[in-house]
Amino acid sequence: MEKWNFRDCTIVKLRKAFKLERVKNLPSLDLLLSSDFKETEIDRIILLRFQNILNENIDYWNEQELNVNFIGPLISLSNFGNERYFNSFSERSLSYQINDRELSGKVDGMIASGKEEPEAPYFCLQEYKRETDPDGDPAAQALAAMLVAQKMNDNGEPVYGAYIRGRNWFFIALEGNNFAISEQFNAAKNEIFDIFRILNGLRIMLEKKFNNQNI
Amino acid sequence: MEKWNFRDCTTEQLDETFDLEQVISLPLLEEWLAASEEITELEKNILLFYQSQLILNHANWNEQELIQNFIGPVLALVQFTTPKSNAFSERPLKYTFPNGIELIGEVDGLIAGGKKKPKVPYCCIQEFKKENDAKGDPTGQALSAMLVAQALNNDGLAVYGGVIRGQEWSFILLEGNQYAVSLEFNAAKNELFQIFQILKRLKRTVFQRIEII
Repeated sequence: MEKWNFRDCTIVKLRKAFKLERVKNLPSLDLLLSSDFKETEIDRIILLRFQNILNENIDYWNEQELNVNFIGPLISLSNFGNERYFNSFSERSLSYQINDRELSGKVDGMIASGKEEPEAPYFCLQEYKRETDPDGDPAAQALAAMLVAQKMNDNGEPVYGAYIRGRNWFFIALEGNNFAISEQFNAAKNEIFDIFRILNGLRIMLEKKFNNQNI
Repeated sequence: MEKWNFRDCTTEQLDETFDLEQVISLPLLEEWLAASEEITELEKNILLFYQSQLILNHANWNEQELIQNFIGPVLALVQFTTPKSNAFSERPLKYTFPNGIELIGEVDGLIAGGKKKPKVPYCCIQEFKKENDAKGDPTGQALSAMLVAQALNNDGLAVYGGVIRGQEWSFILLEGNQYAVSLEFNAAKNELFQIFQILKRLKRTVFQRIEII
């Protein structure tokens, strides 16, 4: 059996091996991006503080510094940690055997059901230090983790993901064999509020899903 | 030349090799811990928000999750970034002492002079996942990085440090060949506000040293 680590995946490799097709739009991606969540005044002040730190330092940060000073605080503020049925996780392992291949690796960030440990993953995030990092293919690494999530969940529902390159965030949806990637959202600009709106939209979407399941 | 990595250092070993003495307290540590910096209403609300996530999740967080969801956000709120200082993570530090021993390693958190890379390290912070993590000697790890900072700075001034074990924070001060370690402050309790004040006081000390204020 062939073993593929997420970090070695490329879009071409995944597309060929798993018959995936990149499409321009997907209803599930449109739904995620069109969240109408509105940040509070306090959220706004805090986000601008985070943005200020990002703008001052992004060119000099290593990956951990980007994580500690920006990505972590932003995701933490999106409040996944206070939820009853799901949580946000970091550097947790995922693996699944698809046909003759085992896809496995650690996911930088994950929103999944389960409070103590991830059970069903709904959102996989990959982070990269710089816009120009030559190593690896961040979109493919996120997509590989999403593919594993899709197979694990096996419920026909879309799986979401994102990859971050320095200041820029891209959101991904995987529906069946089709995937779509959003335009970039630049956290150094006002688009930071879009990123926060989309993450909260995801949280609210999951809240509704679990509340309906547990009525 | 012998190389000692921070992660392998213990206080006992450092005391013996570098002629250090642990004392109950030091006036500068007392002064630091007595910090009474202002906490704004906004900061209080944000700290309580992060604290709720800590209380709910800390038992299950791995080290990266603790860093991303709690330590990072709290340090970001203190705002160490200025044109002459910054908060750094996982940056290497090393120094070869006259006794031939090289102390070397990456510091989890470093408050230092220098904007783009750490130039003058003022405070070394080591982070651990849980209170009961069996591996290593957290104080020894922080202290070894602080010794390197002291030697690199070579200015006769005190070096600050901190150890975070799950929800417990303790602070260390190294002055000459004496050091003192504070009792633990529990971030899941009201002591979180003291931790924040101590960090803000550290910021003021750093800013004074680099003559920002």
